[in-house]
Amino acid sequence: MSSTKIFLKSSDDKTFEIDETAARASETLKNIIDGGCLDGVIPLPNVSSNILPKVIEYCKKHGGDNGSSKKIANGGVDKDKEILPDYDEEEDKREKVRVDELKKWEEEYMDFDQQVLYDLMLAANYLHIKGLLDLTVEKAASMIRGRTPDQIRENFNINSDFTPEEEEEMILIEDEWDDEWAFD
Amino acid sequence: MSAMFHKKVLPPSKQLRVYSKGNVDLISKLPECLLLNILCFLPVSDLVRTSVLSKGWRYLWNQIPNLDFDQYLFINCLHVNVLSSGCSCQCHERKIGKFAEFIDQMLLFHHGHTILKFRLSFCFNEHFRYTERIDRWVCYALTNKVHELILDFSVCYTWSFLHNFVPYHMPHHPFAAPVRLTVLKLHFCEFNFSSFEALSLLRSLFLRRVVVLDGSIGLLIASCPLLQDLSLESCHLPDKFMNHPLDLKLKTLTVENCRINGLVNPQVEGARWIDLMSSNRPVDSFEISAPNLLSFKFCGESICKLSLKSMSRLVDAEISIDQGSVLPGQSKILHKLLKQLDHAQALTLCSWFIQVLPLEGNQQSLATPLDNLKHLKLKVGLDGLEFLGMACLLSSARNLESLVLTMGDFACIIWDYLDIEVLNVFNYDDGLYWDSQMLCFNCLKKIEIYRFSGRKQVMDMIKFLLKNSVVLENVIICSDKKIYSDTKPEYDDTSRLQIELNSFHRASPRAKILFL
Repeated sequence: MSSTKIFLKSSDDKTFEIDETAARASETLKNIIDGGCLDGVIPLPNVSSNILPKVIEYCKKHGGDNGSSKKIANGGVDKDKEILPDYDEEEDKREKVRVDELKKWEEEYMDFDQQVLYDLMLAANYLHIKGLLDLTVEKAASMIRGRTPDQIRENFNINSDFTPEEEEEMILIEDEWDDEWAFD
Repeated sequence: MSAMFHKKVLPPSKQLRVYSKGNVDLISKLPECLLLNILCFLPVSDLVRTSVLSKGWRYLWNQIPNLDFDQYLFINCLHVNVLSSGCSCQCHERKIGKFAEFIDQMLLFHHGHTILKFRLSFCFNEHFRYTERIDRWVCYALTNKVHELILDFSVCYTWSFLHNFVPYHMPHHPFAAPVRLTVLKLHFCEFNFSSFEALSLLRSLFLRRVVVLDGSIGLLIASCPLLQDLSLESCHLPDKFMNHPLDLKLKTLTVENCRINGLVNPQVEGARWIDLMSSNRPVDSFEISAPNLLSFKFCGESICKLSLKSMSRLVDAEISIDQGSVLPGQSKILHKLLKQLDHAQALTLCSWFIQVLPLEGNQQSLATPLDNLKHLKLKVGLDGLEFLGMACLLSSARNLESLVLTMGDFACIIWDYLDIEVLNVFNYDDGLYWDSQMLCFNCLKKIEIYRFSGRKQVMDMIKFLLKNSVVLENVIICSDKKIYSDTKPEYDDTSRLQIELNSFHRASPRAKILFL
């Protein structure tokens, strides 16, 4: 396997090395490489040296293919699959081993605090790494899904900045809906 | 409106919790596009709830680029199960009403720049009185630059119940400007061809259980010149729909279990699905020319007059026939078909195909060798009746690199319509068949066998493949005991089977056998 090295410079002027095949997981880097504007080091003014190694770790694992294990595993997110299901059991079976391994890796990889989560999300967005973006965004969504507003506020330290009158008004609307939906 | 989903709330889970340092609200500082991205991963129920978090979140959800209205999810997020809760029909009716009201409101307040995806899953038949509203939502989607539109009217009921219903009729509006739509997926609809006249940017069209009242594939392509992917599954098509003399620009084409509308007046709207079923016939004529086609899949109840012209860019093809019987001359059709598919690098064939193939023509090999074929997948039962066809294919695919055998798909064919002499080709001894074959695989690197059972026929086949594949690298064997309960007791023991397989002579020193 040819492994041309690419050098990435973080916002705080630290240089990191990455294989070209891994770097191609990023649409942005791929365009730079293919565009032939490769001039030794690629500066990434939006990504700090705290987060860049984490991004590189992801790219190394996913170099070439874009997409998290969720996607491969036909996970609940992709609802259009219902329309045209793919009944390829055998391939599923073979994939399963790979997917399970990847899931485990993702679990360990995603073990960090919220600051890192958002930084990673921003970096993935900036570098156009679809799989990493989906992974981080889904993580944030999972902290909202199925929770009450209070729980969500607590999860994210969101301060409700509504005036007491507005709060009152919202509660009224809520009650109205609740009544509508209540059991007969 | 947000508290309506309070009732069913998950307990705070440690796993999902990502702790933040200090008490800083980091998430609200994210750029709007990322926040919207997060919201796209949420069902409507949770989406609505975010509006009461803070002022910043208040109207955010009205801008999300993916609108996903799912009746089932919407109703079930309130009460775990409508039926078990003893909820009356009236109550259920009211919830449907609420759901419709919710969609109306959401569309009214939505002020995002673009709607990338609009999905509506609605049990149409139960609620004819919503037809006008659905029409309005569909028109909203079409006029608001939606890129991907998914309409599914099959929810709530099992398919057998749905049979009694009339599919939703797509509104046909003469749109002044071309619609931005690039992907359209319809499930349980019917439409007149004129609905498609404005869809000039359409690239992918997926129809499932759709009644096409008029038109043909040629007209469709003329209206949607950019169309690349077309998939028709269990659709009712007008007569000769699949016949078109001119080149199609399609890249992928799937035609699965489609039938030809046999009603006296096929253009009549509003026929119940079950009435359509009783008066139709399988697709019997199929003539296309598709020089750009990369992937082709045909599944049907019978082999029709398939004529595929200039398929020179074809990469993979799948033919699956579930006919039950075989008629004179059908073997010749298969030979012709394989010749037309000879550019394919990957081919998937069914048990029926393999059994019928050697009835006519040269039994040893095909007239035109499949020199482009690298990957062959056979859905078979590894029954003696399939051996001849398999050997014929294998000897014609000289450059084959991978062979996948999926077992448990044997087709029981009624041979009564054929002359008894024709069936003489099967006069060989199953047990000795592979021993007597002289084939050598010079390129075969990988063999995969799924739903492996230890039957003698299977073991013989593997033995034969191992003995004659000189560059073989991997053999992957997956067993599935549940399927083969008829396995003889002496083969039940998996480890014994493994020992036996490992003892077979291998022509390739690099060959490894892997059991999964």
